[in-house]
Amino acid sequence: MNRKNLITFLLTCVVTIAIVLAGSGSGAGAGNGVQAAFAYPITMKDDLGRSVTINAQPQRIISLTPSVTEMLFALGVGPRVVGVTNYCNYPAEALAVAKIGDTNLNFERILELQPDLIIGVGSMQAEDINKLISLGQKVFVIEAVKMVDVPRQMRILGRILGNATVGENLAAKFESRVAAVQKKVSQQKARPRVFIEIWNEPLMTAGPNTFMDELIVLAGGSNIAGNSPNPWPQFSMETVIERDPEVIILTCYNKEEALSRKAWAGTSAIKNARVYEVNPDIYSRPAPRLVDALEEMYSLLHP
Amino acid sequence: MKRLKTVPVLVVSAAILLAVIIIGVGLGAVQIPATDIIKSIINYLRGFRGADQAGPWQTIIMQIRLPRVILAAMAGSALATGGVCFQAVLRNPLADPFVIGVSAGAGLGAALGLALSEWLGSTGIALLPVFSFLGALLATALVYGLSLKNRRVDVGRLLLAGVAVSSFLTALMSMLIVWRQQDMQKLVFWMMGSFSGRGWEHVQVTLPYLAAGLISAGLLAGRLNLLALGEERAFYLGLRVEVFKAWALLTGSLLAATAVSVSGVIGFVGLMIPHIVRLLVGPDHLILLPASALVGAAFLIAADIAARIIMPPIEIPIGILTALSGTPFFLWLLRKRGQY
Repeated sequence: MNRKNLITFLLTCVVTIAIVLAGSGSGAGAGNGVQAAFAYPITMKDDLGRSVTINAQPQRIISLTPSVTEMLFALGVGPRVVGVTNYCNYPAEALAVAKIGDTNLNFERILELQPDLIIGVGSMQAEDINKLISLGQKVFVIEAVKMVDVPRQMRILGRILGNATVGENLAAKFESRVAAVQKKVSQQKARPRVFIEIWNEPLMTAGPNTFMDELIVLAGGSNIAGNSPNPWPQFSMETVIERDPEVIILTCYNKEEALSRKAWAGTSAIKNARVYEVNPDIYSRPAPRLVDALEEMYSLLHP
Repeated sequence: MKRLKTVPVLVVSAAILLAVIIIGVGLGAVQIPATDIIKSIINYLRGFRGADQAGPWQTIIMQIRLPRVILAAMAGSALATGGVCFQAVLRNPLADPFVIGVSAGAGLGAALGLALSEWLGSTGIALLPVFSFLGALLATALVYGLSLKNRRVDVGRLLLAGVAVSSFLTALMSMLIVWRQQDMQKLVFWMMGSFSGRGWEHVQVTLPYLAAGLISAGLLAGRLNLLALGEERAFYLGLRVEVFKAWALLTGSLLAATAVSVSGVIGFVGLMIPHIVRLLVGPDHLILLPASALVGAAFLIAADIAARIIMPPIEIPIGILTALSGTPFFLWLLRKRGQY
């Protein structure tokens, strides 16, 4: 072509690229497709140390655990989730998604759904994950033990799903809400003793290395079971009475039954009517709602 | 009831087994049209194995259903054959392979395997079959040792020792569960028996033990007939009774331990199948053993099919189904006992 046409052509290219770049820089959630086009292929190390390469934006995602399901919907990829477990009850849209089993996964159903990405939790599902890998599936494993893992995973999942900005925003909001609670806690002098009841028969509570324990500590309380030898200790009522909790938190909506127990009627919590029922799901899943739990815990401990 | 002849029985049993295998591969949580099943198998045989070429149907059939069905057949034949051996040695119609401690030993072994899995790394879960196998055999050895009187196995003592040792080991296992609650659910499901998630690697690992057990049982067959005449008579007819009993018990335990290590505790198969087959073909162990193996295999595949298709995507632990069908059978057997 002659020089004039060449210049026109080059200018057009430059302008087009500029527009596209400007489009991809814009805010949360918008321009998914453009963002995605530049993001793939992506290779990331999952929490088992495996290098997972994702070649294109995943369109058929299966979640192996409720916390991952909540995370996926919060990241805006709900429409791309094709399989969840029987326990995945939040958000409401998750109830309509095809079910692939509970703690025992149904591999046939998983394969039938032809996922291009499966996301599971490392420690508890190691065997099943290995089986899925041997069946040729692409699996990304995350591990969440402490609160800080939640925003970290929001960022990672956001990137591999093509919604990096959404992930970053979610993570930043999560972290700032946690920081706000911690600031308020630093201004409190009292550290109330807390007993959190997981189950009543046998009496079970949450020990160290659980989210509930971390939430109690972060919210400025002290868990009377915090120095137990295992994460879900069975307590005798005697121990509870001896340690005299000031706040009792119930996770089975059994307030009436709990209040009727004569044995612990003398504890500070019962005497001061500081017995509260909470939704156990938000306290045990490493998902965006964990910070809701933290804020609720703070308000219960420091009214 | 008129006794059936050997060859027709074996042929029909084999045919039923084959039919059940086909049904087992065809049915499951996912509906796969019959034409796709045939296509998948043909593709597999032609070498299209890779995950991307295979497609989900082929993977489901060749990597999930087929190994599972084969494994159920293997476990079923192991349990049924073991049951025949035990019923012959103990000369008690209520004997099953678990009566002398195999299931309790396997359960304790499995619980230990899970408990130690942290120290051994995540592959500890893969060690569960090994631990349960060893546990089963060690428990049997213990029971056998306890039953010896003047270096002879007293059958009455054997049964009592079996009950006592089973209770003891089960109590130990329960203690382990209390201490390690995080393993509880896994262990409970394992104790109820399941073929979920089993693949070709399980088949490979199980095959040598099964083969050894079945061959050993086959060699025992003629002499089991001798033993059925009574220990004293068999002795006078030339059978080395004590050695033979030990061999038969070992074979039965090996078969039962093999089944339990790969599928968990599945009760009633070892008890029911020998009785049903005996009613059809008579007490001659030369037919009874192979027929029981075939019928046991078919039965357990059928139970596994039921486990998979009753409430998908949930799989019912197979031990529950065999127990549900076993109890009515048990009651019927007790009523019939007068004719024994």
